Amino acid sequence: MTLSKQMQSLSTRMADLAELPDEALAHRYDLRHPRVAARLDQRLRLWLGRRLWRWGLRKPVFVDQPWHPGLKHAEGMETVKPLLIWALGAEPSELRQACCGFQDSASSLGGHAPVLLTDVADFAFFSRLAWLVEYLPEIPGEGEDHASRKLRYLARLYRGAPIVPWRLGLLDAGEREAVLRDALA
Amino acid sequence: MNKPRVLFFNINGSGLGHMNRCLAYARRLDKRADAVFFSLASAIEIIHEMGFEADYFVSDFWSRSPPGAWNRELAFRFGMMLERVRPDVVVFDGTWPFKGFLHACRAYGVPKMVWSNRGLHKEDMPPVPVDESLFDLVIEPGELGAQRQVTPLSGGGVRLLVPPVSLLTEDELLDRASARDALGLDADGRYVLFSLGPGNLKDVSELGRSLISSFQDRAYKAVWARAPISVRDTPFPDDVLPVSVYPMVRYLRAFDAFVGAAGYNTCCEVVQARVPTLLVPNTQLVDDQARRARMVSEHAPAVVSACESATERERALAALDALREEPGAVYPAMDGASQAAEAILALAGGEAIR
Repeated sequence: MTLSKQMQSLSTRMADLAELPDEALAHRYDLRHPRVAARLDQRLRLWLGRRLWRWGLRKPVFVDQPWHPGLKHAEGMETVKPLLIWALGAEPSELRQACCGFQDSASSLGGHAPVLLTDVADFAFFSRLAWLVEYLPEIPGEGEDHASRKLRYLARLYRGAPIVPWRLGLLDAGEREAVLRDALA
Repeated sequence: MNKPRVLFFNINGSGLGHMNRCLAYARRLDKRADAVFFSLASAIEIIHEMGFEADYFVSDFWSRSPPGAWNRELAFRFGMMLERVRPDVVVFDGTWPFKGFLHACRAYGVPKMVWSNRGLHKEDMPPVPVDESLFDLVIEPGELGAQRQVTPLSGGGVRLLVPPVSLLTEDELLDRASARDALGLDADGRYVLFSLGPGNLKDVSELGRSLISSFQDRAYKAVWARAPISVRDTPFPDDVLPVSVYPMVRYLRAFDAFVGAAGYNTCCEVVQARVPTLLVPNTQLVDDQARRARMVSEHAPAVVSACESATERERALAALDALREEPGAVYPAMDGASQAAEAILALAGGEAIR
């Protein structure tokens, strides 16, 4: 598969996954809003607070704070958008080379923070990249396969973010940067 | 009968202490339970190498996300893990159980909760506003000389103080010759190992350089332990040998001297290996490393110094040279991990902890 076809395929796959929300997870574990207040007076206060907020008479109690894909020790990452790097099934030593390639092209990332989607456990190396790593391991257990469920979740979290395959980092700098410019345009 | 499932949640500290303790408990469960990890420390390959499965989520310390967003994400990620593993017991090792963690546990309905919370905080550290009664068992990994003690908690659970928790048992440590062989060191060289921490919270390069120079003046060859969670490598002269092995305690007897900060694990390891040690407490952390270092010096061949000036370094090295292991010395018990693991198993089986 050519690189451009692979990018298109990844993009479509993530977009399709993002359309499959994990309603049970969202409902059960959302920390943003207390779904059930225990006491009557708490429920009344919540109801009143929401009314006042809707009428513009008070600030929202629960402010939506956006998820930030940057890390504190990465410089120049105060306000960034994610650039997903798809690295599932990558060969570890080649993945290291590819990551170095992306680092060499940091100036072409246009304010995007790399987010590495990977099942490779090479964190001693990843720690020095100052990238967010979204690890997709197989976990023994029950119910839906963990890596698949987490990927579905991440697809929704990073909905609309550009995605490139890890092998892009292995291309020579000129070719890689041209592809990155197109992907991030 | 199915084995109980134990899900360990370790935070990311200044080093790997929280992960180390969870690994120590998990190893002592000795296949009597299925142990899985959810780690905020980015040393996942180490957990895998020890034979356990693990998921990773970026630590709040490194993430640029505001606390509300990070905790919200944590609740989702940990919720997914809970629904996959379906644990009988969740063990949290960290100073402060996060809101997202507690929320996920509550929403899932975790049957039994354990908080492994190391003590010896500095006296001016404000109390953690998390109610211990939320937990069925609070394990306090003790300092040197600590004896097992069980006290009831207000919510019906118990607090268990255990002797020091070490990752390896003493028979897992290599002897000097085997350790040198494993690390590729000369059999007759004079080596000092430096392990001053990952350098993520405190820049240790200047302290390291000055100490390396002082040791080299005394004909030591310097070896620098590269921490797996370092975000940058500390630059050193070419004649300093870097090593990346885990757990370092397995190889500690290869060295004629050891220089380290006084974190909980380092101190346990120094007592286990009994290598002449220079402890340089890191005073920027919440735990009272200076106090812990002094306790170690009472139980093991160790010198404590801030090593801030050339005079202090000279004095410390002279004291280190003069250290000799006392024949017949008795060392404190280090079987806290086994006792904690037994308590976790008892909790999973619905037994009382006495």
